[in-house]
Amino acid sequence: MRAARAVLAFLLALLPVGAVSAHVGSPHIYIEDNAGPFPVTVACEMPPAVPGEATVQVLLDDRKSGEAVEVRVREIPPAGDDRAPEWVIAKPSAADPRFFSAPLPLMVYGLWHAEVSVAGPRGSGTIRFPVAARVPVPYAMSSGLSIALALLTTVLVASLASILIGLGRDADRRTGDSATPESVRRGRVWAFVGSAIFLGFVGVILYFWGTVHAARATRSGPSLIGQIEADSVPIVAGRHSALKLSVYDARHQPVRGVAQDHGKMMHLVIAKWPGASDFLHLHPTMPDEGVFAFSFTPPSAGRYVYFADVLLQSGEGDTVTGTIDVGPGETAREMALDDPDDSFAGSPPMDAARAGNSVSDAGGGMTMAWVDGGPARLRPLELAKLTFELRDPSGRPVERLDPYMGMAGHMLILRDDATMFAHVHPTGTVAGRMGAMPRGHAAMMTEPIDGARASFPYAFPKAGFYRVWIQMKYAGSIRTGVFDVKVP
Amino acid sequence: MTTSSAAYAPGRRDAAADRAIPGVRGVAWPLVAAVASTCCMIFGWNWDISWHRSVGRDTVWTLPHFAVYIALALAFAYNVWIVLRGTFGAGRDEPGIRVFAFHAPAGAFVTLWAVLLQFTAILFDIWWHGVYGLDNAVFSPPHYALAGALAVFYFGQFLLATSWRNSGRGGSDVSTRWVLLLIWSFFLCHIVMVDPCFGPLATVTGTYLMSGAVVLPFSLLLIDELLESPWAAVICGAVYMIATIAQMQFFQLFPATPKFGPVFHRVTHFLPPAFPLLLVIPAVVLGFTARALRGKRPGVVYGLCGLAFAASFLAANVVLALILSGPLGANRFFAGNYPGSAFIEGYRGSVPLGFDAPSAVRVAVAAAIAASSCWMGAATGRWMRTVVR
Repeated sequence: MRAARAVLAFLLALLPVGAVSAHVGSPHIYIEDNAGPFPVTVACEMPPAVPGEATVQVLLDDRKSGEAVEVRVREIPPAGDDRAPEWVIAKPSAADPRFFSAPLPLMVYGLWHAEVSVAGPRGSGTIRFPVAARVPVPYAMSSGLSIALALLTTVLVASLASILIGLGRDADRRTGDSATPESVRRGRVWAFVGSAIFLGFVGVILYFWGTVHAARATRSGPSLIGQIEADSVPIVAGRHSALKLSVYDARHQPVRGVAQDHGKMMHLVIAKWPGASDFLHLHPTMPDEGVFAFSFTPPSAGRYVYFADVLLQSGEGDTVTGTIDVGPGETAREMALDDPDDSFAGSPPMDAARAGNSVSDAGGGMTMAWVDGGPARLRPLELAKLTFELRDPSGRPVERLDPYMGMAGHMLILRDDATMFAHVHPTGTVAGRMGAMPRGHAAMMTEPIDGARASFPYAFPKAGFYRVWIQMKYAGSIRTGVFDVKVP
Repeated sequence: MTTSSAAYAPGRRDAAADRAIPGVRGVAWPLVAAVASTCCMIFGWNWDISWHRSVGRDTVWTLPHFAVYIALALAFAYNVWIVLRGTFGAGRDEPGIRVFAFHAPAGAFVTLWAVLLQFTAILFDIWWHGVYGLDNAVFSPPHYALAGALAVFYFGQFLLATSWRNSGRGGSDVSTRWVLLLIWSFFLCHIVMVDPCFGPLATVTGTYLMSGAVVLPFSLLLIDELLESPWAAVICGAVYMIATIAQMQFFQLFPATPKFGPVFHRVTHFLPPAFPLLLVIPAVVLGFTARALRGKRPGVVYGLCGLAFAASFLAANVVLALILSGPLGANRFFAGNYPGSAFIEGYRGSVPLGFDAPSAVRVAVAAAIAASSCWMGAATGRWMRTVVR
């Protein structure tokens, strides 16, 4: 049975690229922070596999020409700080003196941390952020390489048989002597036995490969699993339902050690699918360990997808995903929201023809604008500061924003095929860097924030069609802007 | 050991022997290339292992890999030359075998086959690292293929040197004897792997004794039979030890900075390979046991040879383990518990053999395996004395 599974896993590995679904989420890390007196933006591009080497890029936003600075980077393994290797000096970019880069090796699975230290005449400082080295989904071999390896193996078998026929028959034959029937037979036997041994060797390698692949594929799924339960089944449109989302770990035990992230036990995004027209950003409570409760009044019938961000006390975060099917009912008169920071926004479904809008309705006559370049010029894996501005009904930027869960804004991104979801803050993509973590975090904002803008450091992981929700808080109410963007 | 062989005729030259390939004084240059290639390969192999343990970081283009690539390129080049010469040039009338449309000595074809297998394994290995991550496991499917290809790589060049020596084309008796001894010594360096992470006690476990019994008696008796001297294996064992000790001392001269996470220990210089097994001891015991039993029934000869090997190999390993794990081993020369943290962390629960029934069974099984291995090694050595193509 185990052998059959291994062979099946191996055969699956030979399927062309694309047959294996991509994992949900955006693996790369983007952070905006201050390393002492230096404002820095950090991009940590994760490797395709672990063990592997991430690349840390550091942008010193205001480095002046000729200012002597040294940027150093090191990785802290899951075993702890005392196992950390020496600092590595990041190399400055020849093209832009504000850019530095350094490798960040991640050799084992688990929660690593990275530290970036900047030192110069104006002082020094260090920032630290978690880096989760997870098991990626193994991808399949390309058909070109599969064919090349199969051909090479065929050539190896054929040439081995030919060599062994000659070796067995002729190796001890003196010049002038003829091959005897016995030596001819010996050559054939050698060729048969040698080829069988080689094919057996190839079989052992394939079997071993299959077991490795099966083990990796088993571990590559989300480490946390969600299960929705409703007090009233079925869930129908327009009717309030009290739902529970039970989150289990890989051993199917209720998840333990959940930490608050921006003051909430969970950030739950629900979107109508397909099209992502209805959007809810909810914050369930946790009545029991691993059980998250929330109210849901589906605006319409159909399928909804959910993405639930959970932060663990270890510092590692995970996104639990799933779907909720809603039966036909009535039109919702009032959306039940449990938490003052919960929000709902309805908008037309994603439409590629309308992609690229730089202004969005934000409710109550207000608008939200994508400024400083807008949605144009976006490229996959190219770090950009996505900046948005909230404007009053007269079109003027508002004077100040209320902090929304401790910061100026939240950005949520969903790819049109639901293969990627990201929850980004002005401080970057790392969860828990505010409030919950013992080290390397900024304080939660509590006072009104001057200005109308929030910016988010981010790079889209791959080309595609995305919906971006921007949420800011003004005069006590949450304003949501919706932008559809194509990343070429 | 039975040494009777009608086919063996020292000094008898093949008809084509007079047209020897122009070579270095006393030895044909392709055989010098064979020694250089196998030497470069074992150096690169040991350097690569040291690199993994000291630096950790590994890509396709690390320096030790270049040493391996150079060895492969050298073997590829001179064997292609031999095949082209044997098919289209002056070697058409010389002894060889036919593989597809080509004509050349079998050893050249075997070596090229090993290079092709190595190339295939490298392609697989590069893809593997992209999918399953950079090296953190020695035992991965592509590494099996690489190790298997390398064993054939040594054997192919050994076969080439054997056929040329037997047909009188390789050079003088003394020089070709040394070519064979050196290549076989490097082959021993390749197959005798002591994973330093298992610690000094690994060599006195039942598993190690039994796995050693698979390959070592075969290798030692093969060279004894081929060169018709019980000292041949002793010389190979000595060269293996000297080469390993030389590399141990050499690697420690160069600074290394750990780069990857699992290299948790603090090292300032490249870690040496593990101290070599005291192979000369079982080589002497095995060689002279076989000689003393000459003329007896094969079952008696190889049964007693297997027992002699198991006993002498275990005794030598016990002495080695005592030295390496004691205060005498904690220095640069033996590199036992030195530097301590580098080894202790990696111990994986090696359980040494003891004075109990399960241990006795393991030793008996090892002796039985060794007896079979002795028989195969002696038979292969006798057959190789007849190889002229």
